[in-house]
Amino acid sequence: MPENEAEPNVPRGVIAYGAVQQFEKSPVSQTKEQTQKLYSQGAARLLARATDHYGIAREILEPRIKAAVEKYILKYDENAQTQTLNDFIDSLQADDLCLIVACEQGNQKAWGDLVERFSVTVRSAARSASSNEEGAEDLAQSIWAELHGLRIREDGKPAGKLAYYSGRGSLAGWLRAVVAQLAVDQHRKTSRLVQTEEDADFDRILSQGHDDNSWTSHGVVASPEVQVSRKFAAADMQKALAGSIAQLSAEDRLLVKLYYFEGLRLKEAGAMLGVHEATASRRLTRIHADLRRAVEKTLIEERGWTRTETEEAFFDFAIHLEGDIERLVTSEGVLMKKETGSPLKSS
Amino acid sequence: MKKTDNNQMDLVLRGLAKGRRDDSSLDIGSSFRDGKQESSTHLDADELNSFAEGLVPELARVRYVEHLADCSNCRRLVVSLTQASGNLSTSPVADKQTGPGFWQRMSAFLSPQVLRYAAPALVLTAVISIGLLAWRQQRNQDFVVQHTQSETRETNSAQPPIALETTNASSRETPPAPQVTVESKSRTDSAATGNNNPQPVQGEVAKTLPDSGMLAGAPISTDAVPAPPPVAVEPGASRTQPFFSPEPKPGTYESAQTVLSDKKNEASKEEQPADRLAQQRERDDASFKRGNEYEVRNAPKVGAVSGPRRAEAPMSASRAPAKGKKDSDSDEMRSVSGKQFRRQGNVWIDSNYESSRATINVTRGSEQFRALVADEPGIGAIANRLGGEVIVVWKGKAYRIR
Repeated sequence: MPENEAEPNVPRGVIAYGAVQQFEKSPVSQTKEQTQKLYSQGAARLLARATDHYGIAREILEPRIKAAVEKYILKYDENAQTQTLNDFIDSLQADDLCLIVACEQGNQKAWGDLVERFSVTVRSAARSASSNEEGAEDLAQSIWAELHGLRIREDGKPAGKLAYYSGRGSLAGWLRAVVAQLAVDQHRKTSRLVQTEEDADFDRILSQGHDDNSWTSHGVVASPEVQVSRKFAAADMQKALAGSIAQLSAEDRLLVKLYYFEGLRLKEAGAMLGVHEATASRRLTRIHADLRRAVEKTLIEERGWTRTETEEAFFDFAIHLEGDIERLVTSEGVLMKKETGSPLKSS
Repeated sequence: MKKTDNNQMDLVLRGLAKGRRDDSSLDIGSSFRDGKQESSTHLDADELNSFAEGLVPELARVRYVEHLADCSNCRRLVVSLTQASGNLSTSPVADKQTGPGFWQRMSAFLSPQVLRYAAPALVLTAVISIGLLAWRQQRNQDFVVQHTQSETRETNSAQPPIALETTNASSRETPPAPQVTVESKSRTDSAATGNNNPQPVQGEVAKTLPDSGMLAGAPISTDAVPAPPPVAVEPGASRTQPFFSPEPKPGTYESAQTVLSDKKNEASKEEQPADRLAQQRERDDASFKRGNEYEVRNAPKVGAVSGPRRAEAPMSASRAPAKGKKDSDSDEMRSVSGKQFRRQGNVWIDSNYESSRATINVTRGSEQFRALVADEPGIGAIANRLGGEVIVVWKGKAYRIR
């Protein structure tokens, strides 16, 4: 298809930036016409950037661009500068977005290209999310159906997931995310019906470990009074700790979750947060101190603990949990089996 | 916080994570549909992917972080997507907190918190620098004055000592002024202490004359100082000490000699007739004082001062106590070939000579001297009669014979 067919009035590569500049200093609270013009010009520039735009008309692309802008920019900043919007539009994945929009429009060539280019990606993502090859193959097949859409919209076109690709990230990444979400949904549906033996083992271990946090199962068997006392103390400690974690900032909380609960290394957690490993380490050290202070404050002021009792509890709790970790590591096989069966396991 | 406390908290968190695998927000209740339906509760695939690829705008990212911090499902998906995309294995993105930018650092450097300490420190440093500079300049001027005055005293003290008679014949190449000083000083010291060894004194004199090289090149030279009369050894020779040297202790021989010399000078001053020569000397004094001031103002030009000024510097540099000595120096008058010569320091000066007149420098024994003597035998006779440096006015020209 000729390149200038999608933008007959504007030659490719010579998009009227001068017309764009008149909005650059103005906020988005401009008239509807100006906003529409901004999207229209953005669509024209995106089509010009695409290697193959599959004959998509600018008017078809404008709603997608508008949806992406509103989703990522205007939803959080209604007075965003025009320059910000233009930069955002110009950073969209032109080729991927044109391919998806073309598929959505029923372009068979685009479908062929999509399957040809991304079938390997979808299959790989399905294998990562599934416990076996057969399940992975089923998942991959269902993905294509989900993308195409089994339902028909009011305009007569299939209501597939393709409509939700904004072009912000890569199409391959988006497909992996769709596969993962679909795998989670399928896993939930099946897990509600049948609780596997592995799940039962896992839950038993977790509950046992949780109960054992009262540090009664190690060392010399304590008297029932001491066991009850320790159990209450452990409960207080866990509540205080959970409350302290909840009071952390979102970034700090996410770092703690990524590092301790998701098992990422500091380098990986830092990469997800966009900071260097050293920065993540420093931040984690500060979080330790903050949590320690917050937990101590909660235990002393709300639970009536003395400082000595708090320090001893931390010491005992740490030693006890160290034993727990060792025990959990020995039963790692069960955990691994559980994680292998989980659709959320890391690839 | 102590490191052990950190370790304990780390262990507690690890244990909690291992025991529960997640916190209380383990709320797998809502299913993942699409962004339109579940955007209020969970991130959709597009948002998850954008976050995993680090392409979310900042404001949206804040909201996503808040959600991911509390939603284990989305967090696990993001982790898996990030690992699948390879973003975790690669080097982390540019650290947002690795360090502030240039302008941030500059603004931090110029912040009031820094300036409240830096400004007084800068002011104090500036004051100290200015004070040090001014002190050094003042010190340089003092050096010039001291040098000039010490030079003057050297010339004053260069009354031909007896010891000089035996050495001046072989010391043509030696800078005369320090040697004279050493001789006279050592003599003074030996007179005061009874020690005849002048060596230790030489170093001391060298210290008091840091720029003796200027004296070496000075027109005043004792090279050709003839055998002086015995009266050249005067009590005033004890003043060869630099004026900034410690004052002699009262009761010593030197101080007694100084007192006697001052009294003698006072007496001689009273006896001196107010004749033409005295007027000439007064004029010379005035002109030499001007010259001395000129030297102080223009220190680098000290060495370039013309001969008469340097020769008569002792007079300009003399102070009230030294004035008697100067007058006693100028007492010696001689008449040679019908011309009157008075002696100033080591120089015989024609009474017709005016200090403002330019002189022709002629060195004894030089080709120029021989030619001059051949043309004007009278000058040769005068030069032979008067040893040392002679300034003679001959046929309207002033010759300085060294």
